[in-house]
Amino acid sequence: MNDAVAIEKCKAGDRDAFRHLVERYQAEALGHARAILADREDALDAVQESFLDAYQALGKFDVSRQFYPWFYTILRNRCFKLAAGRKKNVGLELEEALVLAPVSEVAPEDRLALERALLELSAAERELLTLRHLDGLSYEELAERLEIPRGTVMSRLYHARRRLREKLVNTDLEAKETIHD
Amino acid sequence: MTDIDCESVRVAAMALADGEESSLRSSEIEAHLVSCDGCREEIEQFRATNQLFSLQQRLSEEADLWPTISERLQATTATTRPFRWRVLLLFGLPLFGYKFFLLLSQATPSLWSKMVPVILMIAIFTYLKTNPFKINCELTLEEERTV
Repeated sequence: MNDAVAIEKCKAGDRDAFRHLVERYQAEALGHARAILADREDALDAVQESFLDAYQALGKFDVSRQFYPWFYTILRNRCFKLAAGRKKNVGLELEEALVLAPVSEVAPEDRLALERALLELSAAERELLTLRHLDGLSYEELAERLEIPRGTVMSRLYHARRRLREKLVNTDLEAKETIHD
Repeated sequence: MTDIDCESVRVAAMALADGEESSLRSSEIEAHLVSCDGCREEIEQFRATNQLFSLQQRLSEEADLWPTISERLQATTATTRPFRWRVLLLFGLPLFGYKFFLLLSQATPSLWSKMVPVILMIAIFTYLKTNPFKINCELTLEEERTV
């Protein structure tokens, strides 16, 4: 079943057809929610609520569009709402992976350093950087996904990268100090 | 040094490095970089950051959300069951018909003038095919909140 068929069935009242959409996009959505919220439980909540919101709003969805970019708008709305009510990543342990998958080509300490630096950024910066670098979205796609002009994407990306580099330097310094101690 | 400001050069160079169109030509960027150590260093660091990301992959987490979502959808549907129009019609229509028949039997011009707003309202509802007083519950994107 493709998305358009599933959506048409949902619109006709077939709730089980929604299962197709949930199962197809839940992992991707969870990854994106995790990039914004950092905390896994919060991300799970946000994804669940977003799917419920999407189901309620499916009647207004234009089937000629792709489902996921539309759903992503709902998801990020939920995530930012949730994030606004939370303290900034307080006490979040980075023992487990946050957004980066362990890969053999990258040393675990390098991955961890990058994860730590990402965690130090704002949710919006983390979202932008991960969409660009991990999903490979172009500036045009980022502009569409985040509903901002292309020029704003460029400027935000520039500042987010600068901040990431600052955080990476700090993380590196902290790590060196820990080794010397 | 050229008269282009450093930030514009850095943003444009970053776009070029990302394989995107930039607001400045590469010759303009190069001309600026020849005489600006700060921008050269910054762009080198951008490349290093990109390099750091280049081998990374997004973590794909397993989750089975359908059972919970299905349960919640079922609960929502149960609580927001559509209004039973058939029941209303079954009981309401005979009552309405009876009352209307009584009114007609004692019809006066003032009664008909009272009926005009009611008929108009029914006509508007029918024309719009929706209740104009219904609260708009459509999902809208809220302003992004930076955390």
